[in-house]
Amino acid sequence: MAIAPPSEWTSQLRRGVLELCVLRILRDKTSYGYEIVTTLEAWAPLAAGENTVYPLLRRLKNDGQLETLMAESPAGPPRQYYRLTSQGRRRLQGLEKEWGELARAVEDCMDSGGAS
Amino acid sequence: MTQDNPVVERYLERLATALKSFECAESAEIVNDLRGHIEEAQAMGKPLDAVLESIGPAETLARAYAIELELNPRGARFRRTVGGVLRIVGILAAASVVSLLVVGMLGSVALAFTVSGLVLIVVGALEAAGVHLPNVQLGGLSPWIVIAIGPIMSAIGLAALAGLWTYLRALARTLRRALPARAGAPPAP
Repeated sequence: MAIAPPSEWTSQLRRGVLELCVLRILRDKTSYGYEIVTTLEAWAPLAAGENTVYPLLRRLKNDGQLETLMAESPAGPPRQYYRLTSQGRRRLQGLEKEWGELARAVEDCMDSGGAS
Repeated sequence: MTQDNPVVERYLERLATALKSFECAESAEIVNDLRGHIEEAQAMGKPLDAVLESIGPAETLARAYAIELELNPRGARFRRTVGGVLRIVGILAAASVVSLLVVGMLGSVALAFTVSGLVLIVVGALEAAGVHLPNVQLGGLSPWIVIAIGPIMSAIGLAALAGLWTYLRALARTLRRALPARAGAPPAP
């Protein structure tokens, strides 16, 4: 690949944000791995591929923020769906708040550079 | 499950091999997650080559799992806690026998020598000043020698006290190191 690898800074930033996005995707509906990966593909800057999303899903499940349930799929084998637990819901609320405050602060800083 | 495709099976076998540092159950679940993903993608009409290329090499994926789960290792944390508790119990068991002897000996030496050293100084000084305490015999020693012996005995007592202090601190340090690291703290070397 000719493009320089993403800087450590961007990848650190993404790691935390991706967790927020996955929790948000699962806020209103259950979803399965493949669907979550393809949903995230729509947002290229997140650079969320299979090898970041699946490890994250497993960690969130181990953490008790997600739970899985098997459900029939219209075609093919039964699917494993992910669902937010109440702990995951609380975590999402916390992260949403943090992200909102952080984004506002950074935007403000970018706008004015601290000049009053 | 669709009929086993040798290419998929080979990929998943490589993934299972790369995940050998994980617990069996967890590694099997991870392989299953990826099997589900590959099947879904193929059902959506994506060519297998493209699906596997998008996932990337099995070893890279396994490393990504290792890094992600290392941030919050549930199983590992449990094992570490059980191991930590057993280690503390072991240290306490060994330390309590040794401590009983060391603390008992050093403690009594420290107390007896320090106190009697001070008493000798006081008694010697009183004798020298001509005050004879009832029931106190110097055994024919001159009061000045008694005054001189006092500080020596006290010094021995204080040395024992210092030794006791050093021992207790070393014990506390050993125990603290055996305790599980606090979340977020770097693991003890």
